[in-house]
Amino acid sequence: MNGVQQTGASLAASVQTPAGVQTLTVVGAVIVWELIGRTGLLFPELFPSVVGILQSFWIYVTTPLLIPHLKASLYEVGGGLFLGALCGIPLGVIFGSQRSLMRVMEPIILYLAVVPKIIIFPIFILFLGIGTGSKLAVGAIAAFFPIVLLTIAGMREVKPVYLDVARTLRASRLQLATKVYLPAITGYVFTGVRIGLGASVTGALLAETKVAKAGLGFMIVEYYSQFRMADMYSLLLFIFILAAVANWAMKLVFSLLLPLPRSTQDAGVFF
Amino acid sequence: MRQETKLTIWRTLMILAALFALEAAVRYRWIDPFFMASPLQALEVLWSQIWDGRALVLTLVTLYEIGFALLVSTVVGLFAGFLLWR
Amino acid sequence: MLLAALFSSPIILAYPIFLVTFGRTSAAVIALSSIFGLIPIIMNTKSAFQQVNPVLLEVGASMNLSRRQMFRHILLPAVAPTIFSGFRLGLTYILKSVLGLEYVVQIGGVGMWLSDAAFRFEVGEVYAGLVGTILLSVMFLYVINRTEVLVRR
Repeated sequence: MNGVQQTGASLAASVQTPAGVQTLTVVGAVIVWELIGRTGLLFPELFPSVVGILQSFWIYVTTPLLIPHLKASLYEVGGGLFLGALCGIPLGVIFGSQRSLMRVMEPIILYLAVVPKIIIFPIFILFLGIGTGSKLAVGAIAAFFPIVLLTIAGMREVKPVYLDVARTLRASRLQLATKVYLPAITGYVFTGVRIGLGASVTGALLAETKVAKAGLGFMIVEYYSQFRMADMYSLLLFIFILAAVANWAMKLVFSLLLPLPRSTQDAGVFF
Repeated sequence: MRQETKLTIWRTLMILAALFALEAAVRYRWIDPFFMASPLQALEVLWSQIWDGRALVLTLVTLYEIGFALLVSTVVGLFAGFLLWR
Repeated sequence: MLLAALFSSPIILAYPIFLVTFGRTSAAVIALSSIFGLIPIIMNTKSAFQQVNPVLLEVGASMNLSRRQMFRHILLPAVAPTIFSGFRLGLTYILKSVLGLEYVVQIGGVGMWLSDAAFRFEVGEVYAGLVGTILLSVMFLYVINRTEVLVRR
């Protein structure tokens, strides 16, 4: 009896923690979902049973059904992130090191960052066709903005005083780059790349849902047009988990490499 | 203030230069005009759309959607944020 | 934490769910866009209240303020700036998602025009739509920035 009470008490205590509350929320949402699905209370076609979703999720994980689509999406997202970083980091460094140039360019970049990148997709289709190339371009341009903005933010951390000190110590240009600039911006660049990953995923997959021949986003719309809701939900779940794991892995690797600066707010809405 | 005006002039000049380069690229067919409309051509179409009233209706629809979404998310967001703090 | 996870996942890909629920109408765009606006507003409102300096509250209590006075004169001025920046962030996200979604699902306003023009292969119109969309977003951001300057003063 006492043991039961103790378990009850510790359970109650663990429920009081944020993690407990979150778990409860998720479990509660699943139960409510299942109840709505079973009773067919509202939108019966919109709430397929949890079991069905998990079944089709299991099919995705265990069979090669999604492999070609996964390949296409990975190519677009990875290539987009690579291109975005390739253009974003050097440009950020250039803008950041020339104060006058930055003052001219920064508002332009900030204003362009607000424009939804997906709307440039029709032009990429004109130039690159409806294959993977045009989505890669959308991913790249989506990833570019967070990367360049955070690189500039990192360059701004280099106070003029540091440069003065380095000059009085007669640091060479190379030393200035490796000893002053590099440590200051690495953390910011890493954060930028991580957020750029989210932006690239969103941009490329959203473009896939518009016009595509293959890819995870393309499959979402396929299932939607065939009205296979359970399959669509589990595919969404699959994508969310994949994106979260990639984001978390990047965070882990980067934090092992160096202590990251104070966390900047994540924004998966950079698309 | 004067510094700010100078910066604005620089910005405008840069944007104009980019547009000019684009215009020239299309005019002299460095880029196939089949893919690319010159900025002037785009502005022309935009201008005609504005005057034939279509652009106005579309903009109003978009503004209505933005406004409605903002209203919903502000009301619900303030309430939910307050509750989460309690 | 749960909200932050939601924030960094590509929720916009779930738009077919909203199309099924609301049909192919503006309501679907509004509903999904509100979620984007909701997240920063909730997070900033919460952290604004959490960041209120307890000393301020004690000062208020020592002055025997009523609950309403406390809210009006102490809590509200303390939380307003942070809430406003959440509001600003929310508005930019809504702007992006409304224009983006209109293009992707081809319903509603300016984004629909762009998609329509691309579908009909009217190259001039595509670029015109692009310029229009960019102008609209830039104007919006300009207005937000101006308002922020006014509010901060």
